[in-house]
Amino acid sequence: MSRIHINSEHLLFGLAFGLALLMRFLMLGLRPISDPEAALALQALGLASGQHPALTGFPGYLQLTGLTFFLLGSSTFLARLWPALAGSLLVLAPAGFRSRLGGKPALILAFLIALDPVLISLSREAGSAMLAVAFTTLAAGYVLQRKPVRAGLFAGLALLGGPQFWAGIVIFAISAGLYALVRKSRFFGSADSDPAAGEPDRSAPAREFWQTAGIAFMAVVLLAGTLLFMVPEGIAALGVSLSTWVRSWAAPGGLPAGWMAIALLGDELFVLFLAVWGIARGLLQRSRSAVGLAIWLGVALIFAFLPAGRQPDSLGWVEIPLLTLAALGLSGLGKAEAEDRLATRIFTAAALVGIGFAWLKFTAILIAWQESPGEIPIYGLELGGGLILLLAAAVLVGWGWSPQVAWRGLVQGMLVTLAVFQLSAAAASADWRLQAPANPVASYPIPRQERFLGETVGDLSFWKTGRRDAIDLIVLGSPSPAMAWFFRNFPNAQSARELARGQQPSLVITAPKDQPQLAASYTGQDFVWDETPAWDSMGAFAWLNWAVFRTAPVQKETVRLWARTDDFLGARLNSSSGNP
Amino acid sequence: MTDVLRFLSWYLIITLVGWAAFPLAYRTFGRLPDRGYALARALGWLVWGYLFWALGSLGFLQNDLGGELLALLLVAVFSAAAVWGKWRELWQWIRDRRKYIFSAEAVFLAAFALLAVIRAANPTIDGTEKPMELAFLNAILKSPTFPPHDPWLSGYAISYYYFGYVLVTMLIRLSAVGSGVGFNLGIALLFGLTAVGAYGVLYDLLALRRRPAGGAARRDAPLGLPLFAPVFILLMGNLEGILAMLHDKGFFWTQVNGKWQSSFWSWLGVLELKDPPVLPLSWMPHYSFIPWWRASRVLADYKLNGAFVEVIDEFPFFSYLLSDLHPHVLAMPFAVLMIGLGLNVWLSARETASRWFGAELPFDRAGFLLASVLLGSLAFLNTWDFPIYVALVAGAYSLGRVSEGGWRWSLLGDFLRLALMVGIAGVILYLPFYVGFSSQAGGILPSMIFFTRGTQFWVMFATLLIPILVYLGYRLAHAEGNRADYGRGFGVALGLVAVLWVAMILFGVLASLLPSLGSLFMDNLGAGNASIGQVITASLVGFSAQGVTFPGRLTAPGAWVSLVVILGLVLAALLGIRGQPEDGLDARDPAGPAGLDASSRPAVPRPDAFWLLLVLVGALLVLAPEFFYLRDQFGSRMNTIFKFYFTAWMLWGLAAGYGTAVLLEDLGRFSGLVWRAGLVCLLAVGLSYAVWGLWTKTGGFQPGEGWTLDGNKYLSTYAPDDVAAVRWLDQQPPGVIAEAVGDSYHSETSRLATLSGYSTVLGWLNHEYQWRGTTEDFGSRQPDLQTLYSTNDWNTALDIIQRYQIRYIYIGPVERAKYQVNETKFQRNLPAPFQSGQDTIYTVPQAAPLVGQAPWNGGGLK
Repeated sequence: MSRIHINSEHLLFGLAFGLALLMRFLMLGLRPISDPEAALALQALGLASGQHPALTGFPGYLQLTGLTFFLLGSSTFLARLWPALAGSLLVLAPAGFRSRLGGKPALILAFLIALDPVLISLSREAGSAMLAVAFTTLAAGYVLQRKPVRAGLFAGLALLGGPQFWAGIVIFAISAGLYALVRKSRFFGSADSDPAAGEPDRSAPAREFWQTAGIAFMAVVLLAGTLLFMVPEGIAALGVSLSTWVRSWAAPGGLPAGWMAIALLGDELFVLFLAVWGIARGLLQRSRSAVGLAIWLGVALIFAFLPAGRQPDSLGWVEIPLLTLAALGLSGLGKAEAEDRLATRIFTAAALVGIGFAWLKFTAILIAWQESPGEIPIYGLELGGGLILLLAAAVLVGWGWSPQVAWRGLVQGMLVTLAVFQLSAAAASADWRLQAPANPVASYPIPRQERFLGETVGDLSFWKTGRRDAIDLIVLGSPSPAMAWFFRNFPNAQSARELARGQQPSLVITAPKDQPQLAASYTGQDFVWDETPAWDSMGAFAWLNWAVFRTAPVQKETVRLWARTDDFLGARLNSSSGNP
Repeated sequence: MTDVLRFLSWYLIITLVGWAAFPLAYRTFGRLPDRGYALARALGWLVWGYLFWALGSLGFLQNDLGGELLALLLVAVFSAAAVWGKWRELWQWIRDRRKYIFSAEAVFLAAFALLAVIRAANPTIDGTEKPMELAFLNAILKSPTFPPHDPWLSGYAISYYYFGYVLVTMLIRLSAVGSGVGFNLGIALLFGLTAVGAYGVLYDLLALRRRPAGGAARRDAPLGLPLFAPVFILLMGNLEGILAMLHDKGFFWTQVNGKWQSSFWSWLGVLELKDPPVLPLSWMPHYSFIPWWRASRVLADYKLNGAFVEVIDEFPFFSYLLSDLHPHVLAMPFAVLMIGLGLNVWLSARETASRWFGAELPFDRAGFLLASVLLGSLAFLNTWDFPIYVALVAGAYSLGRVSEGGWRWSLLGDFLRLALMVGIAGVILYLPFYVGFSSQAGGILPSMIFFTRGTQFWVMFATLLIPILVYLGYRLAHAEGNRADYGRGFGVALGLVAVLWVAMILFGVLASLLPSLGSLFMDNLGAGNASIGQVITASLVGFSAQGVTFPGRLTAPGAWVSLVVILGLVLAALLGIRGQPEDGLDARDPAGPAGLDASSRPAVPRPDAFWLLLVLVGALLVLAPEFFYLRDQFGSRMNTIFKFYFTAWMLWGLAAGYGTAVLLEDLGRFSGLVWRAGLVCLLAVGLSYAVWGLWTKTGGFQPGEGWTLDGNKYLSTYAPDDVAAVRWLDQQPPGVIAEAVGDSYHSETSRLATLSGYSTVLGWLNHEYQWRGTTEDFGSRQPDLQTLYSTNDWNTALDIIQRYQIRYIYIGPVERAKYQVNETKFQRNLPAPFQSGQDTIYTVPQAAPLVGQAPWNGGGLK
């Protein structure tokens, strides 16, 4: 029996995985479920309760979540469980690419994945692209490691992962084609090996490998895709996922490309900086990995930004090459000469203080813009002075000590600042901030006062039925998925386009503009149901404000709860007291 | 999207499907010189449709765009697997056949575009059975699963061979054109696919023929001559075309005492042409409101009481001119595909690819499965074609084995074994269809009184039979090494006719004696109180009724004698094939990859034997309804003639194309010149119908609604309220519609169900009866609907609403005209969210559980 020898690398990968779990699972169910999430969670709930709802294109998520709901009951936390788990597992994928990337970059990549704001955000969203991205990446890693069963298993799960699976496959195929063209052009010369990594095994997998992987793949698709043949329409959802992705190219209503770009810059400045460095370094060294990844990144960006129906999900495929390039860039930064190391660290600390001071003054200007504009010039002077001081210090160090120390200290100080900025974004993505952060890529409405609505409905139900969930309730019009999810445990909740003549439900929920012709006397109250950041109306200042504080103006959507007057406690008392 | 873009989107999609399926065709039609390139689109469309429908029926796919795309992906995967490891060979083949590929592409594009232009000139989906077909398309588009719901009988699935409609809706959905446009593009596409398929099969036949025995084959087969196949199948008309021109120009008419008289036109016996021409005399037929219609009704049957019985004798150009998206049209490209399959089987018959249950098969297991899928689809496309093409493929197999050891009884066993195995597998593969299908067919009846007159037979088929018989004669005169066996050929032909005749009389006697069938049978013949003996006598020597004398089979023997002659000649040629290779064998594999040792390749017979098989099957199809027909609601041989003649036209059209092309290639200088001159005359005669038919149908290519492919556009002018009602319905959740019971062929009835795809309680009554073969399923729907509209009592109406789960109650001009509508009860109890002109829709409020009703499709509570 072979024993597994645990080394420091294993421990560090374990640490990255633990960090990923923390970032993805902590307070996972706290944020109210959004409409897109609820739409999928409701389908999973339907599956769990033995129904056969028309499935949308996320068979893997729906089947796995449906099974989870069936075993453990439904909750917002469980609705997000599988993406969070897949997002955590993605951290382990770099281990499969060690042979191509090298040990150190693979490890750095694992930590970058664990702490990446976009990946955290996708991992904490029900029905996101995370299943497709994570499982495809894991499958690719296992192909490289020649582990057919796991490769097939994850490939099958990836296929079930949703529309972004198809995007990933097409992006990869196009990138591979372009890369082959670059190779044909003798850009890399005659050298076969990659200076950035060791000598990987480039031989094609044997036929037996593909046969075994194929069997595992088919088994997973058939068994997981149909939930052990109990839900055969899971395979149909595969088709829906394909059509959803195809339609996304022409579907209107996608996110504006500008928002996506701002979100990417706002969340990923640190890794973007490193990735650019990684690409530049890779081109200079004619590194196959770096060039291949750069092509992949370019194609992924095109596929993320070009479709009319662009969605934040597509950023998932941007992240994989981006973070890998960043990892290569970071690992290639190198160390200072031994005699300069202490000086570099000291100047890095000084640079950090200078940049931190400038940042604080910048935030002060933004605050003063609204509260005390008169102070802006003072903060401006302080900001300018701080930056001039930092540059002057760099010039002096470069002249008096060494230009390398000055340059390295300045860059490292900048990188640490950006890293802190990105960690802050990661914390926001993980819902660790008290106020839910606004993000342009999550532009859908988020429920806000659902708790108050729930308490009111619960109270009314209790007064009338003795239970908090037994009241008869009709939602008029088309209920939003989040509302349907919210009332999922109310067995007598229904929706209708209009009330039948004479119909008198205890509670009716309508849009505020609707005045239903209610047969009995009803009393109404408005609730803010959800809020949508008003990105459309934001100017330059508002965007700067968002970059620093992650806040944005919101548009509120209200609903009106109508309750029968005769169900109120006072009415009953009046009625029983015999007043006229 | 403009119509041009819509057309291009269909062209691109079907081309993509064809490319995806070509590797599969390359393997499946491995013995054909063109490796099935011209058939690839039809093959891909069919396999794609099958996977989509079958997986949908089993619950693995939904009837939506995603299901379609996934099924298409599967086609591509299977196709790629079919040529795994042979990509270089495939690529080399494509490079070698560039000219042919371009030619086939040009034929397809030209044919597709031609019919699209024709449809754009008269696009209206109105009249005949177009509303039924449109209703099927819309219902399939609206059905989440298979089988699709019946738009004209709520609560039931479609009971019809609806596969063709599934195929068309797949393209409609993928291209995102409306069903009104898809209907017309569908017709055009079927025309294009049939044209290119026929072109490809004739190319194959000619390419096979050009391979001399033992010598090196010429690489390039002719690219122009195969055009005769689509010309004869799709463009040629019957003689009614030229006859109508002559008739309306006054030929063969004389005026006696101011009255027009003509013994010629009386002798011809074609309805309307018997009547005097309408003045002014003109080359452009105008003898009726729709003169192009008569060509599909040149045959006429009469009962013993003199009553006229309609017989349909459509041929392809008429069908495309009419442009009903009916099963016989929907099946056409796939029928050509089966002929290609038969040719491939014939070529590979001497090789045993696999053995199943002890039977030798010309397919490997995957090939057998695919062949079963292809042949089985015919039952689902146009049920009549299924046994015919199974017999053709099995016949090709047996015929292919003749050259191994001559004619022998074991060939019959080969035929039966293959037919049974493919037939049974074809049924099993389409089992979900049979489960929900109830046919109106009620057995076979002897055609005691009804038979085809010789004149009408030749009016119908002369344009095809002339080149066939000329080539047959040429071939019999020039047979080298395979002398025709006239004795056996004519003996078998006469014996067959005699057996059919005797069987018909015996069956007739039997049918008249059966207590359950006898009176019905005799009534169908219009026999009144006549005995079966009198009926038999009348059928032989004729009868008189209503002052008219009608001939019998012996006094008007033209049709069956002609058929005996054709059969005798064909059988003589076929039975003359010896146990050696016919006409010499080519030791070269027509499609095999270069580099193989020539001696290791199987020998290839020249294609005349297969051509004879096509002519034979066609003749049998025309002969069969002379003696028997399928019993249906019409009680006549109307549908049997329709379907059998149509298929015979397909087979004979291809055969005529082959004969014409070979004669053009083979004949010497003088005889060739004579043949060319004759051919020009024949084409002029045969194509005359296409020319004036198109001109009159399209109003001189000046469409009233303007050029458009949208077949529903006319409704915006003539029924704008109905259009608005349908648009409103499209935004509503699915539900049963109550509207007046439909009258067949009246497109203004059942219109909401037809256009929306939602089910109505009871649509075209007579059609539902035909599809189901019974009225039991209707229950009391007809009177219930009358009650719903006319009763004063809300509770009575509510009971009906609940019984049929009605969600939308429509009141429009038809309802007001048909029923004494009492609207007050609806006004008092139901909201009426739609009102436009005379149209009102009341909705029945229905609350649904909040969870489990797909709220994700809603736009929120906004």
